[in-house]
Amino acid sequence: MEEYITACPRNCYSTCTFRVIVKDNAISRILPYPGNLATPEGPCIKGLSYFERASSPDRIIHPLMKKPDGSFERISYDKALDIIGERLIQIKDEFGSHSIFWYKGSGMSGLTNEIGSEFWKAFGGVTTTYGNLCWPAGLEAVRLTLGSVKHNVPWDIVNAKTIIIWGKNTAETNIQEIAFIAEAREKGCKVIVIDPVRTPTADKADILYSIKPGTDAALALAVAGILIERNYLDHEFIQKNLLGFDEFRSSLTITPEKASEITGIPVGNIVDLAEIIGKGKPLTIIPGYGLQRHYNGGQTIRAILSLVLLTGNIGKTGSGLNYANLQSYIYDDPKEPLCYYPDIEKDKPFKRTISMARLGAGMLSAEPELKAAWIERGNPIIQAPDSMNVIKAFHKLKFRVVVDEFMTDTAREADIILPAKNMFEQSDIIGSYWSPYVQFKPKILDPPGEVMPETEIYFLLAQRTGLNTDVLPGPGNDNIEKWLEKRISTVPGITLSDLKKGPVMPQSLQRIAYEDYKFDTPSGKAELYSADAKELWNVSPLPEYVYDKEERNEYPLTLLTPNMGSRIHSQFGNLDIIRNSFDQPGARISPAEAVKRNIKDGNRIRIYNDRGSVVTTAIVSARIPEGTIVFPNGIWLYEGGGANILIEARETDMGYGSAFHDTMVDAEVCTK
Amino acid sequence: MKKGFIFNSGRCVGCNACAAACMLLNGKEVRRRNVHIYNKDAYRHLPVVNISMSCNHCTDASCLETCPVKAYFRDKNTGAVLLDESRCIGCKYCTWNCKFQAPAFNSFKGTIEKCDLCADAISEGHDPACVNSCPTGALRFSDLQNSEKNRPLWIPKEESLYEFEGNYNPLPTEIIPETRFSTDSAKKTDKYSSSSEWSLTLFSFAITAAASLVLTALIKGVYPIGIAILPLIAFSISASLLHLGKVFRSWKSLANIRSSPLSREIAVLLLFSLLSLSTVIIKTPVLLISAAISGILLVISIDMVYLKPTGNRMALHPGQTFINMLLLASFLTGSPVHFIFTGIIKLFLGLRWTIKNEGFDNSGGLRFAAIAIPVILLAGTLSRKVSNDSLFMIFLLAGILADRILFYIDFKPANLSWYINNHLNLNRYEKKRG
Repeated sequence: MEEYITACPRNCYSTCTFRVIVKDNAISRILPYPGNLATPEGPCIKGLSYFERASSPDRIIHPLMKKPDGSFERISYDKALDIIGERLIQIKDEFGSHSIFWYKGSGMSGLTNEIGSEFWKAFGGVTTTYGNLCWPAGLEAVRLTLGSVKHNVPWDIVNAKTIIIWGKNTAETNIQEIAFIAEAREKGCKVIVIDPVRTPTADKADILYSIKPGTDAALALAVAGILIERNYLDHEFIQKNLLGFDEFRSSLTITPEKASEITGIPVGNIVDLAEIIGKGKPLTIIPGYGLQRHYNGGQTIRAILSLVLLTGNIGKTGSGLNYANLQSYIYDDPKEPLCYYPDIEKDKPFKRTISMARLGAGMLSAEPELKAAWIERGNPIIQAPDSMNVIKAFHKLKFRVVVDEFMTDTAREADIILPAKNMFEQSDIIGSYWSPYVQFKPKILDPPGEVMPETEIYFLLAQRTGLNTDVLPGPGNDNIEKWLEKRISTVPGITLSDLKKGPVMPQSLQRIAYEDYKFDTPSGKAELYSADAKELWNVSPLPEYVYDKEERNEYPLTLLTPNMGSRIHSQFGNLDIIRNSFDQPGARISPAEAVKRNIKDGNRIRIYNDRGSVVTTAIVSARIPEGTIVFPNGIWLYEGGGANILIEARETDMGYGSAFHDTMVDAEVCTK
Repeated sequence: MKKGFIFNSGRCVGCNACAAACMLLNGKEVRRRNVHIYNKDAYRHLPVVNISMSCNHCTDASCLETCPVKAYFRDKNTGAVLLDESRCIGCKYCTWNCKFQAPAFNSFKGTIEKCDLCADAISEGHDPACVNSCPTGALRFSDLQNSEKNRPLWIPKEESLYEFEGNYNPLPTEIIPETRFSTDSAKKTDKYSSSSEWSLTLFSFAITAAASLVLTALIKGVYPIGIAILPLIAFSISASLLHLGKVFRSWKSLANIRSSPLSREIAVLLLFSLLSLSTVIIKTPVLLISAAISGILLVISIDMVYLKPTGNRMALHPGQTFINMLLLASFLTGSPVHFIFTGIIKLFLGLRWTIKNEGFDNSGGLRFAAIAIPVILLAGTLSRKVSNDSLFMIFLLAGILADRILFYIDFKPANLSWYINNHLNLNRYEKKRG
């Protein structure tokens, strides 16, 4: 029986550290690791479910090839690599290497993911994506305003007197933060949630502002106006460290009355919110990623940022805007969001021409025409907007390779599926976008069947296709650890042996972000007025509320497609322990909207708009406000998922994000 | 100072990690720990209350008290209530008596399972698995304060290894603007159903018939005929055995006559079977009188089994075996006065129960039948003399069976939901808000 310290590599705020007890090459216990101060109580139910996931009977452990009838058959690894090598070379020779599309999702974090780039570079380059489905509008908003994206260490929030959770469902997506919010509340902190939906997070708050989706900037700007009018300002901070206060003040046109009309929040409550913000120092605002997945997402985050800047709630304990904390991403150059942008790409071999937000349309119109695709760490068929176009683009290809642990909706589209490693089967190093730790994730299990890490797949494929294998680490975990050691030597202060002892905070860490009031912006100040915003994204240099209703169609319900506590995007929903613990997900609708459509709890319903329709189960819930239908992302097609079939492929105002939450739909009872 | 579960509902978001950790350790067939979410649909007047609960290891433990085979015992060191699964006969009586849904029946194993406080882990100084895996610190394992302050209104006043801290009586989140959320009154609360217990229905029905026959024989002054009694008793004993998860351990079930109504019921069942079968062979009045008395005691002891789990709520149910037996016996003895008297009582109880509790909304057909049949029979009895008309007899038995089936449908052991739903009283919160 051995015990290891490891870290969860999912695309999640928490990046929990936990202890794993291993017995006979199988996990026997998963236990908390109190040394990580952000996650001392240990992982969530998904983390516990690795116990099952690591040895799930549903796991793909041998290469599979699609037969003409659409089913899959097991083939030998040699044969799989032969076919893949042969087809890729053939397509490269005939159509050029850029007719091959390389798609990588966010399914597994780690530095070793870079090794894939080395392979494709040596191969001659490929077409790939720019942008990101998740969070870049907000990242860019924070970067433009503050020069970098960081916040105080997560546990500092217990010192806040006011916490505003703005569009984040902490209870389901960052559960460890609930411990700190609860501690603050036990000490008398007022907790406010601003969210259209009464989430489990709202259950833990004093007040829920149930705002109309997409109108958050209007609320923020109205509150900013009241703060200025009632002089709840930190004049010293504004004078010394803020650029554009006067321009901002004179640009404010949204009165509380106007904001009330837009947001659905009564005037008196908007004024109350301003009073709470003005008086309740120190204040931490925690925006989620949902509210920036609107077309106006970047400007929304900038408008919310203005509230902490005007009141000087930054650079101090218990204060700040906790959007994302990239201080542990010390090995990334350039850092998010810049690395998502097409023009930043220094590596000529990669043609970043396909927008993540418009994946299907981008693949269909790519130049040169796409002939093959290699998909790893992702499930774009159901996670990218406008799924029907994505499926169409996949069908148009001549050859598709998917590397995955399970038979996902995307894997079903593959010609060849290669089994993917899980988090316990190769050493790696990961950061976190919430906690300040750099963490080592050791290899603790031998992979089952013929599973091998992507790095080894690439190595063998390079050998087979006659590429130079010198740029790739050789097979075996020792080679990976050597590669990691070399990779992290670019940043002084942390060695692999330090990391092997447990999570490490980088030397450059500011526990209280911006405590030196140094902002890495063109002016060196926090920029309420950002000339770059205008130049890069052609939006107002000042935060403003824009919502172009004319582009929205006539359907009556706003479709929100958030994440669920039981899954990370499309992962985990296939495990027994998750299915045993949660009701089968579906679309949630308010009792009033359900009555209008004669929908009863548990009915099969069809949600539809011009792009298509999805059949799923109705959950009539008073948590959902009228005018809204909530259908989480990450539900597989066979279990009644696929919200993205309905969603418009549209980029956000900045950062090349995806505007998931601007789609309008209607719903009806399924008669068949 | 004793250690126990300390639960802070204010930190619990209903993530299910505790229950999952328990399942991962103990198997997925049963849930030894449950996360109860009250007002899950979040009606705006009410707070949402999340409660993670397994076994409270109560000082006054009803499982331990009522187990017919004494499979439960208390661990001296930790104070934990533990179950010896090798003794358990799978009668599920503890699942009826525990208000907290702590014992759970594992149909694969045929026995009950329950929280053992992770005894092995604790003895090594570790926390139980559920506590270990709570990501928000809502569930802890620590020294108990046993203060009255930490006792929620809906937790019965009994010392246990479970304590609340923080605000267990939360105000609902203030919602702005209120009108944007539906204002429907709170949904009907989820009720725990003991699922239809066919074997028990048939057992108690057959016993009713057998006891009535013996009583009738006594009143009529004849001796019962073996061909009527023998199959009924054989049938009822086999039906009762079918209910058990572990049939071959059933002989142990007399072990707790001192405090288990179930043990007593089984003891009287054996006595009645013995006496009534003896009367077939040895025809002496003493035996017959004893058999008839034991029959009456038996139906009463059957009814007693269901009293405690429901807080005496079933005492006035029209499907009680005692009143069924009286009705059948008065019919068999051909005494219209008694029959009409018992019939009217039963009809009254039936109407009262239907109006007071369920209405006709669920099992409506059965409920209608249970009331209609006595009405028809009473009318029939009043219009002409009671005769041993076989159609009449079939009607009567059908009515009794319908009532007995309803008895099991209506049998809902008291549980946590009751307490909490009473606590989350809509009007109370309305008032509090002013």
